[in-house]
Amino acid sequence: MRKFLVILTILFASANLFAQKRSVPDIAIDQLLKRIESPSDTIYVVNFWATWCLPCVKEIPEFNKIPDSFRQKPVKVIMANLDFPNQKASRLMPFLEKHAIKGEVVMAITPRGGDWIERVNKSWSGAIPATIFLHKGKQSFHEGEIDYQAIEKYINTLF
Amino acid sequence: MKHILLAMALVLGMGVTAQLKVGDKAPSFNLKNIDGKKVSLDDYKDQKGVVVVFTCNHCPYAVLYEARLVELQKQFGPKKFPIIAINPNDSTIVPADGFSKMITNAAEKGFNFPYLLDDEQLFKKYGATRTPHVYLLKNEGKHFSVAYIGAIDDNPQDASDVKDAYVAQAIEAILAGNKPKVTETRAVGCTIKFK
Repeated sequence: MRKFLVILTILFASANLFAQKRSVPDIAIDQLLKRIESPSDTIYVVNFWATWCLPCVKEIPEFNKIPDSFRQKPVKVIMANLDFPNQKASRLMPFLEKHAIKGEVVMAITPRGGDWIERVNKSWSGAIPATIFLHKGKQSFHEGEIDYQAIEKYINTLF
Repeated sequence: MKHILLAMALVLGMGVTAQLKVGDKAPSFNLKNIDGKKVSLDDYKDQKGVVVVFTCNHCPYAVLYEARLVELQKQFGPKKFPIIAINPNDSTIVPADGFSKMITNAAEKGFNFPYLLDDEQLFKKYGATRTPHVYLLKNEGKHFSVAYIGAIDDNPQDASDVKDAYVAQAIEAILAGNKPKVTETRAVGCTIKFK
């Protein structure tokens, strides 16, 4: 019986490991901004979302449709998660096992208060979902739900 | 400068709604409460101010603040700064925010303040974009003016670890005859669901 339990424990542990293979780095919000604002050829699409946000979850498939490049320019989709950091293991990781997300998932670590929201974009009230589009210093911003057609339009305005 | 930027934002159509600014006259309203009676801002003329909070049943960030709203009402209701909660969400989009669900939610959470259904899209006149979204109003005698816009405090997840209780501090400042130190804050929240 004991042996059985040990095997069972090992099995569960390894299954768990496998499921959490997708690593989700924590990244401070200002560090994330620095990364996407650096001059490069890359078009950045950054979606702020959370597992508890209904329209965010609904629009994930729209972001999955974004191709890897757009007019020969590389496109980088970053899905910046805003769940509470102490709920990463209990909420975010299990969520990622059930939902396919093509873009890079990061956990955005935000400081106390809401001053950081303005640093992402001046017209953002803080409501999610919200998405920013960046290319060589040009930025477009969208607060609220979005579909692929609108995503494409926003990317087009960056050229 | 701020005004110019705001005007530009409006011209460019970035502002979907007319955003109230601190100091502006607060739009009046007359909306149905969960007890079936209408509640108007004009009913509050004998108060020193009102905490108008756009909130709802379903949004986890709104839920996190429910107990804190009850506490704010306990603390500041008697000091003539009562709370009026307003649900701006369209229940055909989020059934959990329907009128009957508002009644049960208020009963379960022990709401000690009116909880109104915004079936006139009042939130647009205020420029509210998320739940929860607070507009602290100050009674100026002939009308109410906006004294603070934003979050309830600086820690949505943990009420026991709040450093800046924005709304409470703003009310205390007004009660002491001063202007609130912080008049605008931003916070993560749920978008308002409307058609």
